[in-house]
Amino acid sequence: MITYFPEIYPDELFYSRLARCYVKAGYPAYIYMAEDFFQDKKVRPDIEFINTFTSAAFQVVTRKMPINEIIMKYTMFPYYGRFISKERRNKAYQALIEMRGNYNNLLPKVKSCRERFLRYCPLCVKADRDKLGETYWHRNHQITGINVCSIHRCYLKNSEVVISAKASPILHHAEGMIPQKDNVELVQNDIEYELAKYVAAVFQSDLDMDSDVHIGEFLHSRMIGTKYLSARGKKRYMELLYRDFISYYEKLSENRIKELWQLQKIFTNDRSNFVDVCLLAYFLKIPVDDLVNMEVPDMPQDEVFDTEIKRLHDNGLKYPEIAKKLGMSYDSVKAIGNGRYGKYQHKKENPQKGGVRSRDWEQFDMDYLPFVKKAVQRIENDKSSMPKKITVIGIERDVGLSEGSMKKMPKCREEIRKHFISQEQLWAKKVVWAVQKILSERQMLNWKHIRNLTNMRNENFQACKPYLEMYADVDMVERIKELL
Amino acid sequence: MNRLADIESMLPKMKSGDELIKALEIKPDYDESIREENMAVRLMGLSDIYNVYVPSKMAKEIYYKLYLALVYSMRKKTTRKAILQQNENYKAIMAQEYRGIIGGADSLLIAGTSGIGKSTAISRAISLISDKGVMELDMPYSFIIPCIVVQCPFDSSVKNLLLEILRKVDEQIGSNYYQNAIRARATTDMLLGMVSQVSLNHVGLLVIDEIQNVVNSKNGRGLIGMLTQLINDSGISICMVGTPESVMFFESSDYLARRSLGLQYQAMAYDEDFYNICHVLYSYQYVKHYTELTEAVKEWIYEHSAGIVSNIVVLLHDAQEIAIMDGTETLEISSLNKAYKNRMALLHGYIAPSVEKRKATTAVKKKADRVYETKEVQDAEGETEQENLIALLVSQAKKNGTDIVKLLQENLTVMEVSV
Repeated sequence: MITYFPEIYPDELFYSRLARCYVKAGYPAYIYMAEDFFQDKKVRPDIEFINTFTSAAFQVVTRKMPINEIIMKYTMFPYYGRFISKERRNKAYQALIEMRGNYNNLLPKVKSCRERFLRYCPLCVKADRDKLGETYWHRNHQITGINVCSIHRCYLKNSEVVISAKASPILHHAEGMIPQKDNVELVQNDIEYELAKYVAAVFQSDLDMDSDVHIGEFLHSRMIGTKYLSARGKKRYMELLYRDFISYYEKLSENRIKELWQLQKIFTNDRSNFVDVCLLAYFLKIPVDDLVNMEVPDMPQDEVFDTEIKRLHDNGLKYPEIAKKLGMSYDSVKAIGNGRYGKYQHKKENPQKGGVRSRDWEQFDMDYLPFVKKAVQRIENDKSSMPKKITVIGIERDVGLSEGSMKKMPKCREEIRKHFISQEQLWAKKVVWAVQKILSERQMLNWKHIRNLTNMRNENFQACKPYLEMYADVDMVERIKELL
Repeated sequence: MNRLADIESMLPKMKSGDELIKALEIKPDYDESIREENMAVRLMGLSDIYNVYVPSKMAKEIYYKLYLALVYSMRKKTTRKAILQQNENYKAIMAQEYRGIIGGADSLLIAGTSGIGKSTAISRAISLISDKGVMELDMPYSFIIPCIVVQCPFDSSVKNLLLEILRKVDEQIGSNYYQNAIRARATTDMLLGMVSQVSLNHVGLLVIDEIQNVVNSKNGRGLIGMLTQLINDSGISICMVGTPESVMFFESSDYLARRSLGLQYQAMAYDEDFYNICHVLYSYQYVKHYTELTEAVKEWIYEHSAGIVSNIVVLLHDAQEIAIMDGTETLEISSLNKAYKNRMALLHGYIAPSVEKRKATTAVKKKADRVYETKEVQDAEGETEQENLIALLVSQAKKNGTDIVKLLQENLTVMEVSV
């Protein structure tokens, strides 16, 4: 039985709390603590996240704080998960809550040829020792790419604790690894310190798990009105942005963005490293609150711009005057006014005139909704073939719409979204379907037959077990669980 | 939420006065109608006498001392030094150089003759202090045992004592410290580090009984040295309990004496505490014919128990047992005498000298008492003087042709015994 577990300190890494427990609980060797706490006693303790605990350890660990709060406030999840897609973020989060190791595949881990070590600020260490009697590993100091303490304005130092998958399984407590006396090197340039404060503030902010705004879109929208984005917002001046960006940060001790394509990848959502995003956001002078609660304008910039041209034109201004007012060329303004640019089109005053008629998407959405509902039901109730996910693309194909049509059909999209299921739920549905098929054909019910029908791997079978009850009765679920 | 910082408020409130007496005493139910029952029932009921506990001044003093030692120990756990010490103890477990930071809380020795009731008094005090049982904390998550009692190993083995402490802790809170220590084949130094850490985390007061075992063991000093280190590295209070021979051991050097300041008790005097105990015990009569406790019986009991509580209990119990079994069915001096002669024969050599201690009934003896009392305060030089006096009296008797016994009686205390 676990009879001692220390209280957690502010912004402490959970690994640090485990290390302090190991030191203070009176274990004669690490292996005894590992037996008490980890399901696999030989596992290497995860420095940045958490390992799979034994049930007794899980109870102790979550006595006063639920597991989701531990993950949010005492692991590096907000660092890795903040700027990735909502789906990936939630999958990784779920994997952490269920203490499955595959969150490593979902989170954008930094690949570097340099070894990483646990870091500390000598002045934070001193303050901890004065106040608490001991120091601990702070989360803020482990942000890769930031080398400065956001409180004391001094450079962080590397300890001897290497963060590596090849390190031997042991817990290193900060008090034992950090020397009693250490040199302090203050940061001279302001940008490094201000950036560290900015990054720390973003890191410490609450993470909105439901935000589905892509970082690229957000940063693009925040460039509106700057010299890095055209007036209509369709063209980014990346060369200029890159030049200014590099120049702005030339005094930084570490800047991973060295090439233009690296900056570009942020806008295309292919690069979501926390510090890289913060660097760009700080450069664009985006306040912390805005970055943490990302929002994009309801109407895209090009539509706003075109609407403004139309409005001015309707108010009696001629195109040259509009061009002068908006700082654009006459040809561009005229082309926009005539509706020749982009997908956005003016609604014609007299719809009976010739030409391509613009679609009334709202009505279109309403008209297609019953078809979408029928399609969804048909797919869900189809027992003749293996169950599949209800997706937007699949329903578009089914009802005969072109791909991408439903982007402007929110009601239909919402109807489809109601029937979204997770991968594990889909596996469970497939298993139940396979079992029912085998039984109806009076074949031998064994997991080999199920596997042949579903083409699922064993770990997929195991992962879907909690969801079987959703698609089968109790008896069938028991039978299936015995097989699996 | 139970926090370590509030541990003192989680202890039961300190009792005093009548409330303390009432809490300490144990008086089994007694109904006079039991005297009408058959022999078997009465003999069974008679064993209740062993369960009677009447608190004396000693019991109260022990309670206060232990309670305050516990409070002091608990306060130490909430200090910053406790955190520093935890990290130092880890170094000890890892066989690295370490130091004591937290310092000792309170260490004391309770010494007294065997049978006067110190273990019972300690046990009663502990049961009051540990009234709320093991305390569970939330910040940090931990368990605190108010008091642990272990026995000093007969061979004063340091390792055995340390393992015993771990075992007792495991018993109370369900941990695996003992098992882990055995599996790890911990050395004595590692064990000391472990026990220091475990004590700092989980123990308020450590009571070590039968500490006199250190006297006759060549490893005795080593054990006491270990206890000193344990005090320094854990900050808990340690109470050692033993017989008077342990006092001489601790007096032999200053650092031992410093660690063993405490309470020393002898057999009861013929005073109010003794009357009280006699009255209470005497009221538990299971013989058919009830007898009152008279002054003569009290005096007799005192003389034949040497003022030691366990002897009093044995006397009153066995006297009634004999009276019930042989049909006399009365609790008086004759049955008491039978119990003394037949059941306490082995103790006669230890009880007889106590006859000197009661008040003298003759003028000669009064003078002898006065001489005796005077003699008591003399030092070693006084003993030499007495030897010279005897030689002087002998030569005087020879010279004058007088009876040497009479001459001795005039000057010294003389006891005549039949051969």
